[in-house]
Order: sequence, then structure tokens, then C-alpha cells
Amino acid sequence: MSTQSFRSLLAILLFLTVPAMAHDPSEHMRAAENPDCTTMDGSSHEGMDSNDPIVQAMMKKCMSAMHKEATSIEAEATESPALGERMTEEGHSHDHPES
Amino acid sequence: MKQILKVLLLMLVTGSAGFAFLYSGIYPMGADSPHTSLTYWALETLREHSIERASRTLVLPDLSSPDLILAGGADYNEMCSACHLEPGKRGSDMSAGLYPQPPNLTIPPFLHRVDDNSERTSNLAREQFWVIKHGIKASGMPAWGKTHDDQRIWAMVAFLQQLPRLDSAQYQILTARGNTEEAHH
Ligand code: HEC
Repeated sequence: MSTQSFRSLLAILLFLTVPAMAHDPSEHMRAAENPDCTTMDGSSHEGMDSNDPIVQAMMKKCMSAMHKEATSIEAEATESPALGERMTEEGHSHDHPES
Repeated sequence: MKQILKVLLLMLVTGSAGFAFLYSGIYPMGADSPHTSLTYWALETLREHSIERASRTLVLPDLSSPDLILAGGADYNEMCSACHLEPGKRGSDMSAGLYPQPPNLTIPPFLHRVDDNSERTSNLAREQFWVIKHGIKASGMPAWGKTHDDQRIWAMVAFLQQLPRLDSAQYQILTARGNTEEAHH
């Protein structure tokens, strides 16, 4: 197969994967907003019940937000590799969104 | 014999009156003219019983899982809050203009807070799942199951269980997509 036709085949295949990705959560990134975790420091922690699912979820969100702070800048700068990565992960990312 | 004839005649008259009504165009179709209380009652009864019956056998996952709540929160904010509102918002164009009106899901569904394991709460969660997946005919509620798998829908159900207890700061944290999305890949 010539490079030319391989490229067009690749282009077509890429195009075909678009509908499959249409509802990947990351598609909604346009609305991406960072969690405002400063409000968590402000409120008194004594009232917080660590068995409360809300508290657990907020902790989790703010922990991973801090973790990601550094790496996010690189991720945003290189958009196309990130897109490719999403495509290959499409199949299983739905089955267990957080694992 | 006469009796039967009378009954048949009555059926014919009411039947044609019904057709005449359908074709006359006098029914007010606008979303801004509410149903009569009889129509409202009939539709509500139909909807409640249908959804209750259809959702009865669904098996609930653990809805208190933080992962599920977080996944559902971001989706809710983007896909549902325009119609079903968020803490601190009392109305939107959608919530005001649609008929039937989208219920405000930030308000506790029951007046008395029931503990998490109660039968009533589980049944409500099952019904919510069913409604989100299949939508509701002739209302603004879409069937999200056509484009979202069950896992994503359960996640939204998990989030809905917590939503009435959230203030707007907590809502912001739980729903912000941020850049945490790829953290676990
Ligand atoms: C375009 C507006 C609209 C959007 C967007 C929308 N809904 Fe709805 N939803 C409605 C309407 C209208 C009803 C009420 C239908 C009725 O009463 O017959 C409803 C009903 C519901 C109900 C049943 C509530 C009850 O107590 O009866 C649930 C649960 C629900 N929606 C969840 C969601 C979720 C979750 C999303 C986002 C994925 C969503 N909706 C998006 C309009 C919308």
C-alpha cells in the first residue's frame, strides 16, 4: 500500500471514530472549570463527617485536582496526542469510569 | 333490544363528538396553557404507575460511592442543570417555559428525610434511573439511554441522591470537570 492511500485510509478511519467518541465525558471539556477547593479550607472541618458521601467525594475531587495541577499544563499544550490516547481508551473507559 | 340500540347510539354520538373535537382544532396546544385538573390527574396517574412498574426490578449499585457521585456530578451539571437547576438557582428559561415543568431536583423529594436504606429511597432511585434512561413521552425529558450507557446513568442517579443537600460551593466542587478527568487513565 502506498503511503498516500495508507494516509487516506487512516484519515477515513479516524473520521469514523468521531461518532464513537461523541459522548466521551471529555467531549464536554469546553465547560471545563476547575473545582474551587479553597472553599473547603475555609469551612470548619469539625462539622465534617468523613462517612458522608458528599465529604468523601469532595475530598477525592480536591486531592486529585491538586495532583493534576502540574501535569495539566503539559496535557493541554499537546492536544493531538491526548486525542489519540482517548480514542484507544474509548472501549473500557466507559465500563469503569473511575478506577 | 331497545336498550342495546340506545347504548349503541350513545357510543356513536360520543365517538363522533370525539373525532369532531380532534379535527376541530379547538384544543389549546400551547405549553403555556395548563391542563385541566382532570387531564392532569389522568396523565400523572398514567406516568407514575407506568414508571413504577417498569423500574421495579432494577438492581441498584452502591450509590454512595464517591467515584460514582463525581462522575455523575460533572454530567449533571452539563446535561441536566439547565432544566433541573442547581443550588442557588431558582429558575431558568427551560424550567419556566417547559410544560410539564421540569422538577427542581435540588429540592428534597420527600418532606421528611428518610434514611438511606429505606425502601422509598431505593424505589425513587430506580425510578430516576428509568426516567433518565428512557425519558418521558410528550415532555421535555429526553431518553439519555440512547447515547449513554447504564454506568453513566447510575452515576447521575448517585449524584441526584446527594444534590438536595449541596450548597453552591459544594456543587461547584463536585461538578467541576476541571483537569482531574484524565487522572486515573
Ligand atoms: C430539556 C429539559 C430537560 C433536560 C435537559 C433534562 N430533563 Fe429531566 N425532566 C424534564 C421534564 C420536563 C421532566 C418532567 C416530565 C414529566 O413530569 O412528565 C423531567 C423529569 C425528570 C426526572 C423525574 C423526576 C420526578 O420526580 O418525576 C428525572 C429523575 C430527571 N428528569 C432527570 C434528568 C437528568 C439526570 C437529566 C440530565 C441527564 C435531565 N433530566 C435532563 C426535562 C429535562
